[in-house]
Amino acid sequence: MKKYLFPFVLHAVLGLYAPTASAGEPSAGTPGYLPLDKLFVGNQQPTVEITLDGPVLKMLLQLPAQLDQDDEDLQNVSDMLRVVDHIYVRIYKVDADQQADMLSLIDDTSQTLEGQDWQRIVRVREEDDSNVDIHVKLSDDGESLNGLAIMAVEDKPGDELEFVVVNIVGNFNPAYLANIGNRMDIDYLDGVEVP
Amino acid sequence: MTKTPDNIFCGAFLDRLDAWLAGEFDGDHMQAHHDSCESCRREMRLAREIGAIATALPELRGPDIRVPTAQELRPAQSVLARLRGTWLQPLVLVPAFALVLAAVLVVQLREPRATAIDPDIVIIDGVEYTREEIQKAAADLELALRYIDKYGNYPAQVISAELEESHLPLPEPQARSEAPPTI
Repeated sequence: MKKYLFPFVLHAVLGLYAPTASAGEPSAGTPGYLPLDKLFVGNQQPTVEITLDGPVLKMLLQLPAQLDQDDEDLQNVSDMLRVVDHIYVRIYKVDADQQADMLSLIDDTSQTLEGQDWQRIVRVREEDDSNVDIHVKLSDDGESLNGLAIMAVEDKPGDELEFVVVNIVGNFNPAYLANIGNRMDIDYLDGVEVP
Repeated sequence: MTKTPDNIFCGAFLDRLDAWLAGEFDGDHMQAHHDSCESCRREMRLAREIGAIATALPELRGPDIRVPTAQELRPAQSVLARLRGTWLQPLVLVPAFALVLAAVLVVQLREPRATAIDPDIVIIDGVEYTREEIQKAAADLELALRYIDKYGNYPAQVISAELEESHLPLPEPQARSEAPPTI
Protein backbone atom coordinates (compact mmCIF):
# COMPACT_ATOMS: atom_id res chain seq x y z
CA MET A 1 0.00 0.00 0.00
CA LYS A 2 2.73 2.42 0.95
CA LYS A 3 4.51 1.82 -2.31
CA TYR A 4 1.49 3.18 -4.09
CA LEU A 5 1.84 6.36 -2.10
CA PHE A 6 5.38 7.03 -3.18
CA PRO A 7 4.60 8.50 -6.61
CA PHE A 8 2.11 10.83 -4.95
CA VAL A 9 4.62 11.70 -2.28
CA LEU A 10 7.29 12.37 -4.88
CA HIS A 11 4.97 14.54 -6.90
CA ALA A 12 4.07 16.43 -3.75
CA VAL A 13 7.68 16.90 -2.76
CA LEU A 14 8.54 18.15 -6.20
CA GLY A 15 5.72 20.60 -6.15
CA LEU A 16 3.73 19.01 -8.94
CA TYR A 17 0.68 19.45 -6.77
CA ALA A 18 0.03 23.07 -6.06
CA PRO A 19 0.27 23.57 -2.31
CA THR A 20 -2.21 25.72 -0.49
CA ALA A 21 0.35 28.20 0.68
CA SER A 22 -0.72 30.62 3.33
CA ALA A 23 0.55 34.15 3.69
CA GLY A 24 4.28 34.16 4.30
CA GLU A 25 4.64 30.52 3.34
CA PRO A 26 6.85 29.89 0.33
CA SER A 27 5.29 28.39 -2.75
CA ALA A 28 6.41 25.16 -4.33
CA GLY A 29 8.44 27.15 -6.79
CA THR A 30 10.52 28.87 -4.13
CA PRO A 31 14.14 27.74 -4.56
CA GLY A 32 15.23 25.50 -1.75
CA TYR A 33 11.73 24.84 -0.46
CA LEU A 34 10.27 21.39 -0.02
CA PRO A 35 6.54 21.04 0.66
CA LEU A 36 7.17 18.70 3.55
CA ASP A 37 3.59 18.64 4.69
CA LYS A 38 2.77 16.56 1.62
CA LEU A 39 5.17 13.78 2.55
CA PHE A 40 2.70 11.68 4.41
CA VAL A 41 -0.59 12.88 3.00
CA GLY A 42 -3.35 10.58 4.09
CA ASN A 43 -0.96 8.35 5.93
CA GLN A 44 0.59 9.76 9.07
CA GLN A 45 0.90 12.99 10.95
CA PRO A 46 4.23 14.23 12.29
CA THR A 47 4.82 13.96 16.01
CA VAL A 48 6.97 17.09 15.92
CA GLU A 49 6.13 19.90 13.55
CA ILE A 50 8.24 23.04 13.62
CA THR A 51 7.58 25.87 11.20
CA LEU A 52 9.64 29.01 11.66
CA ASP A 53 9.06 31.45 8.86
CA GLY A 54 10.09 35.00 8.13
CA PRO A 55 8.20 37.08 10.69
CA VAL A 56 8.83 34.64 13.55
CA LEU A 57 12.51 34.34 12.69
CA LYS A 58 12.74 38.11 12.57
CA MET A 59 11.05 38.30 15.95
CA LEU A 60 13.51 35.77 17.38
CA LEU A 61 16.38 37.73 15.91
CA GLN A 62 15.25 40.78 17.80
CA LEU A 63 14.79 38.87 21.03
CA PRO A 64 18.17 37.27 21.63
CA ALA A 65 17.50 37.13 25.34
CA GLN A 66 14.77 34.58 24.64
CA LEU A 67 17.34 32.08 23.45
CA ASP A 68 18.97 29.96 26.09
CA GLN A 69 22.44 30.18 24.57
CA ASP A 70 25.76 31.47 25.71
CA ASP A 71 27.15 34.47 23.89
CA GLU A 72 29.16 32.59 21.23
CA ASP A 73 26.31 30.30 20.29
CA LEU A 74 23.93 33.23 20.36
CA GLN A 75 26.08 35.01 17.80
CA ASN A 76 26.05 31.94 15.56
CA VAL A 77 22.31 31.64 15.86
CA SER A 78 21.84 35.34 15.13
CA ASP A 79 24.04 35.03 12.05
CA MET A 80 21.97 32.13 10.83
CA LEU A 81 18.66 33.87 11.49
CA ARG A 82 19.77 36.83 9.37
CA VAL A 83 20.19 34.71 6.25
CA VAL A 84 17.47 32.13 6.70
CA ASP A 85 13.89 32.72 5.63
CA HIS A 86 12.24 29.47 6.68
CA ILE A 87 13.06 26.53 8.92
CA TYR A 88 10.90 23.43 8.79
CA VAL A 89 11.30 20.31 10.91
CA ARG A 90 9.01 17.31 10.69
CA ILE A 91 9.53 14.21 12.80
CA TYR A 92 7.52 11.04 12.30
CA LYS A 93 7.42 8.00 14.52
CA VAL A 94 7.17 4.89 12.40
CA ASP A 95 7.31 1.20 13.13
CA ALA A 96 10.61 -0.55 12.77
CA ASP A 97 9.25 -2.76 10.04
CA GLN A 98 8.79 0.36 7.89
CA GLN A 99 12.50 1.07 7.70
CA ALA A 100 12.79 -0.25 4.17
CA ASP A 101 9.88 1.91 3.08
CA MET A 102 11.47 4.99 4.65
CA LEU A 103 14.81 4.33 3.02
CA SER A 104 13.08 3.79 -0.28
CA LEU A 105 11.26 7.07 0.19
CA ILE A 106 14.52 8.86 0.90
CA ASP A 107 16.24 7.27 -2.11
CA ASP A 108 13.45 8.08 -4.52
CA THR A 109 13.13 11.62 -3.23
CA SER A 110 16.88 12.12 -3.41
CA GLN A 111 17.01 10.99 -7.01
CA THR A 112 14.19 13.30 -7.96
CA LEU A 113 15.78 16.23 -6.13
CA GLU A 114 19.05 15.65 -7.93
CA GLY A 115 17.10 15.85 -11.15
CA GLN A 116 16.04 19.33 -10.06
CA ASP A 117 19.55 20.66 -9.53
CA TRP A 118 19.75 19.76 -5.88
CA GLN A 119 23.13 18.39 -4.94
CA ARG A 120 23.49 15.58 -2.50
CA ILE A 121 26.43 16.26 -0.20
CA VAL A 122 25.86 13.49 2.32
CA ARG A 123 24.64 9.94 2.01
CA VAL A 124 24.96 7.67 5.01
CA ARG A 125 23.66 4.14 5.10
CA GLU A 126 24.44 2.25 8.27
CA GLU A 127 22.65 -0.88 9.28
CA ASP A 128 20.90 -0.59 12.62
CA ASP A 129 21.94 3.03 12.92
CA SER A 130 21.57 6.33 11.15
CA ASN A 131 20.60 6.71 7.51
CA VAL A 132 20.97 10.25 6.32
CA ASP A 133 20.73 12.12 3.03
CA ILE A 134 21.57 15.81 2.90
CA HIS A 135 20.94 17.90 -0.20
CA VAL A 136 21.70 21.52 -0.94
CA LYS A 137 20.14 23.77 -3.52
CA LEU A 138 22.59 26.24 -4.97
CA SER A 139 21.50 29.70 -6.05
CA ASP A 140 21.47 30.56 -9.73
CA ASP A 141 24.87 32.22 -9.52
CA GLY A 142 26.23 29.31 -7.54
CA GLU A 143 27.59 31.61 -4.87
CA SER A 144 25.20 30.75 -2.10
CA LEU A 145 22.65 28.18 -1.00
CA ASN A 146 18.92 28.60 -1.37
CA GLY A 147 18.03 25.40 0.43
CA LEU A 148 19.25 22.66 2.69
CA ALA A 149 17.29 19.42 3.00
CA ILE A 150 17.99 16.74 5.55
CA MET A 151 16.22 13.40 5.48
CA ALA A 152 17.16 10.85 8.11
CA VAL A 153 15.91 7.62 9.58
CA GLU A 154 17.18 6.58 12.96
CA ASP A 155 16.54 3.67 15.23
CA LYS A 156 14.93 4.50 18.50
CA PRO A 157 14.57 2.45 21.66
CA GLY A 158 11.90 -0.15 21.18
CA ASP A 159 10.54 -1.10 17.82
CA GLU A 160 10.30 2.45 16.59
CA LEU A 161 12.03 4.51 13.99
CA GLU A 162 12.33 8.26 13.83
CA PHE A 163 12.00 9.75 10.39
CA VAL A 164 13.34 13.31 10.41
CA VAL A 165 12.95 15.85 7.64
CA VAL A 166 14.57 19.28 7.92
CA ASN A 167 14.33 22.00 5.32
CA ILE A 168 16.08 25.35 5.57
CA VAL A 169 15.20 27.99 2.99
CA GLY A 170 16.99 31.25 2.49
CA ASN A 171 20.02 32.68 0.82
CA PHE A 172 22.97 31.69 2.88
CA ASN A 173 26.63 31.24 2.24
CA PRO A 174 28.12 27.75 1.86
CA ALA A 175 30.29 28.72 4.80
CA TYR A 176 27.12 28.17 6.82
CA LEU A 177 28.21 24.54 6.94
CA ALA A 178 31.37 25.79 8.56
CA ASN A 179 29.28 27.59 11.15
CA ILE A 180 27.54 24.35 11.91
CA GLY A 181 30.92 22.70 12.15
CA ASN A 182 32.14 25.36 14.55
CA ARG A 183 29.21 24.70 16.81
CA MET A 184 30.18 21.05 16.72
CA ASP A 185 33.85 21.88 17.38
CA ILE A 186 35.00 20.55 14.00
CA ASP A 187 38.41 22.13 13.56
CA TYR A 188 38.71 21.20 9.90
CA LEU A 189 36.15 23.77 8.89
CA ASP A 190 37.61 26.71 10.77
CA GLY A 191 39.79 27.68 7.82
CA VAL A 192 36.91 28.01 5.40
CA GLU A 193 36.89 31.58 4.20
CA VAL A 194 33.70 33.53 3.86
CA PRO A 195 33.70 35.40 0.51
CA MET B 1 -35.43 126.07 78.94
CA THR B 2 -34.00 129.27 80.44
CA LYS B 3 -34.53 132.73 79.04
CA THR B 4 -31.75 134.98 80.06
CA PRO B 5 -32.09 138.74 80.48
CA ASP B 6 -30.64 139.25 77.00
CA ASN B 7 -33.90 137.78 75.82
CA ILE B 8 -32.51 134.56 74.28
CA PHE B 9 -33.37 131.02 75.23
CA CYS B 10 -30.82 128.23 75.72
CA GLY B 11 -32.24 126.35 72.74
CA ALA B 12 -31.64 129.27 70.40
CA PHE B 13 -28.15 129.69 71.83
CA LEU B 14 -27.25 126.06 71.20
CA ASP B 15 -28.72 126.16 67.71
CA ARG B 16 -26.54 129.09 66.80
CA LEU B 17 -23.50 127.96 68.79
CA ASP B 18 -21.58 126.28 65.93
CA ALA B 19 -22.06 129.26 63.67
CA TRP B 20 -21.09 131.70 66.43
CA LEU B 21 -17.95 129.72 67.23
CA ALA B 22 -17.09 129.69 63.54
CA GLY B 23 -17.28 133.51 63.63
CA GLU B 24 -20.05 133.68 61.19
CA PHE B 25 -21.76 136.49 63.12
CA ASP B 26 -20.97 138.82 65.95
CA GLY B 27 -23.78 138.44 68.44
CA ASP B 28 -23.82 140.39 71.67
CA HIS B 29 -26.89 138.57 72.83
CA MET B 30 -25.01 135.23 72.35
CA GLN B 31 -22.16 136.51 74.55
CA ALA B 32 -24.62 137.81 77.13
CA HIS B 33 -26.42 134.46 77.33
CA HIS B 34 -23.10 132.65 77.58
CA ASP B 35 -22.02 134.81 80.47
CA SER B 36 -25.23 134.35 82.36
CA CYS B 37 -26.02 130.62 81.69
CA GLU B 38 -23.83 128.03 83.31
CA SER B 39 -25.34 125.16 81.32
CA CYS B 40 -24.70 126.79 77.97
CA ARG B 41 -21.17 127.71 78.97
CA ARG B 42 -20.57 123.99 79.68
CA GLU B 43 -22.02 123.10 76.26
CA MET B 44 -19.86 125.69 74.59
CA ARG B 45 -16.68 124.34 76.27
CA LEU B 46 -17.57 120.88 75.15
CA ALA B 47 -18.15 122.09 71.63
CA ARG B 48 -14.79 123.82 71.56
CA GLU B 49 -13.00 120.73 72.87
CA ILE B 50 -14.64 118.59 70.23
CA GLY B 51 -13.70 121.12 67.61
CA ALA B 52 -10.09 121.15 68.79
CA ILE B 53 -9.92 117.37 68.66
CA ALA B 54 -11.42 117.29 65.20
CA THR B 55 -8.93 119.88 64.01
CA ALA B 56 -6.03 117.83 65.39
CA LEU B 57 -7.09 114.65 63.48
CA PRO B 58 -5.79 114.15 59.96
CA GLU B 59 -8.10 115.05 57.22
CA LEU B 60 -10.39 112.19 56.36
CA ARG B 61 -11.20 111.50 52.73
CA GLY B 62 -14.43 109.87 51.98
CA PRO B 63 -14.85 107.28 49.29
CA ASP B 64 -15.13 108.49 45.75
CA ILE B 65 -18.68 108.36 44.77
CA ARG B 66 -18.91 107.08 41.21
CA VAL B 67 -22.09 107.33 39.33
CA PRO B 68 -22.74 104.05 37.53
CA THR B 69 -23.04 104.21 33.79
CA ALA B 70 -26.10 103.14 31.95
CA GLN B 71 -24.38 99.94 30.83
CA GLU B 72 -23.75 99.03 34.44
CA LEU B 73 -27.30 99.65 35.37
CA ARG B 74 -28.41 96.28 33.95
CA PRO B 75 -31.00 94.10 35.59
CA ALA B 76 -29.73 91.65 38.19
CA GLN B 77 -28.08 88.49 36.65
CA SER B 78 -29.42 85.02 37.27
CA VAL B 79 -27.56 82.53 39.43
CA LEU B 80 -26.53 80.51 36.37
CA ALA B 81 -25.23 83.58 34.62
CA ARG B 82 -23.27 84.62 37.67
CA LEU B 83 -21.77 81.12 37.94
CA ARG B 84 -20.85 81.19 34.28
CA GLY B 85 -19.28 84.53 34.69
CA THR B 86 -17.34 83.32 37.65
CA TRP B 87 -16.01 80.25 35.76
CA LEU B 88 -15.04 82.35 32.78
CA GLN B 89 -12.66 84.41 34.85
CA PRO B 90 -9.06 83.51 33.91
CA LEU B 91 -8.01 82.99 37.50
CA VAL B 92 -10.68 80.33 37.85
CA LEU B 93 -10.84 78.89 34.35
CA VAL B 94 -7.12 78.18 33.80
CA PRO B 95 -6.49 76.25 37.04
CA ALA B 96 -9.75 74.37 36.58
CA PHE B 97 -8.80 73.37 33.02
CA ALA B 98 -5.35 72.27 34.19
CA LEU B 99 -6.90 70.18 36.93
CA VAL B 100 -9.29 68.46 34.53
CA LEU B 101 -6.46 67.82 32.05
CA ALA B 102 -4.29 66.32 34.77
CA ALA B 103 -7.13 64.05 35.86
CA VAL B 104 -7.69 62.82 32.29
CA LEU B 105 -3.98 62.14 31.82
CA VAL B 106 -3.78 60.19 35.05
CA VAL B 107 -6.72 58.01 34.03
CA GLN B 108 -5.23 57.43 30.58
CA LEU B 109 -1.84 56.51 31.95
CA ARG B 110 -3.28 54.10 34.46
CA GLU B 111 -5.30 52.18 31.88
CA PRO B 112 -3.60 48.93 30.79
CA ARG B 113 -2.52 49.19 27.17
CA ALA B 114 -0.58 46.94 24.80
CA THR B 115 2.77 48.54 24.22
CA ALA B 116 6.11 47.37 22.97
CA ILE B 117 7.48 47.42 26.50
CA ASP B 118 4.64 45.41 27.96
CA PRO B 119 6.25 42.20 29.16
CA ASP B 120 3.31 40.10 27.99
CA ILE B 121 3.12 41.44 24.46
CA VAL B 122 5.91 42.35 22.08
CA ILE B 123 5.18 44.26 18.90
CA ILE B 124 7.62 43.80 16.05
CA ASP B 125 6.91 45.42 12.71
CA GLY B 126 3.31 45.88 13.72
CA VAL B 127 2.78 42.22 14.61
CA GLU B 128 1.89 41.36 18.19
CA TYR B 129 3.51 38.35 19.79
CA THR B 130 2.35 37.07 23.13
CA ARG B 131 4.67 35.68 25.73
CA GLU B 132 3.48 32.16 24.92
CA GLU B 133 4.12 32.62 21.19
CA ILE B 134 7.62 33.92 21.86
CA GLN B 135 8.43 31.05 24.21
CA LYS B 136 7.09 28.50 21.71
CA ALA B 137 9.07 30.04 18.86
CA ALA B 138 12.25 30.04 20.95
CA ALA B 139 11.68 26.41 21.96
CA ASP B 140 11.01 25.46 18.33
CA LEU B 141 14.18 27.18 17.22
CA GLU B 142 16.20 25.46 19.89
CA LEU B 143 14.82 22.07 18.86
CA ALA B 144 15.43 22.81 15.17
CA LEU B 145 19.00 23.84 15.94
CA ARG B 146 19.56 20.59 17.77
CA TYR B 147 18.55 18.60 14.71
CA ILE B 148 20.57 20.87 12.42
CA ASP B 149 23.57 20.44 14.66
CA LYS B 150 23.01 16.72 14.86
CA TYR B 151 22.88 16.15 11.14
CA GLY B 152 25.14 19.06 10.28
CA ASN B 153 27.88 16.96 11.80
CA TYR B 154 27.74 14.67 8.80
CA PRO B 155 28.92 17.26 6.26
CA ALA B 156 31.74 18.08 8.63
CA GLN B 157 32.69 14.40 8.79
CA VAL B 158 32.57 14.12 5.03
CA ILE B 159 34.69 17.20 4.42
CA SER B 160 37.17 16.21 7.10
CA ALA B 161 37.41 12.76 5.59
CA GLU B 162 38.09 14.27 2.18
CA LEU B 163 40.71 16.57 3.64
CA GLU B 164 42.44 13.63 5.31
CA GLU B 165 42.18 11.61 2.16
CA SER B 166 43.73 14.33 0.06
CA HIS B 167 46.76 14.61 2.34
CA LEU B 168 47.33 10.96 3.17
CA PRO B 169 48.18 7.96 1.06
CA LEU B 170 45.20 6.06 -0.17
CA PRO B 171 44.24 3.53 2.46
CA GLU B 172 43.91 -0.13 1.79
CA PRO B 173 40.52 -1.26 0.50
CA GLN B 174 39.74 -2.88 3.86
CA ALA B 175 40.53 0.38 5.63
CA ARG B 176 38.38 2.38 3.18
CA SER B 177 35.41 0.30 4.09
CA GLU B 178 35.80 1.47 7.67
CA ALA B 179 36.22 5.10 6.76
CA PRO B 180 33.54 7.61 7.67
CA PRO B 181 30.60 7.60 5.33
CA THR B 182 31.11 9.56 2.17
CA ILE B 183 28.93 11.04 -0.47
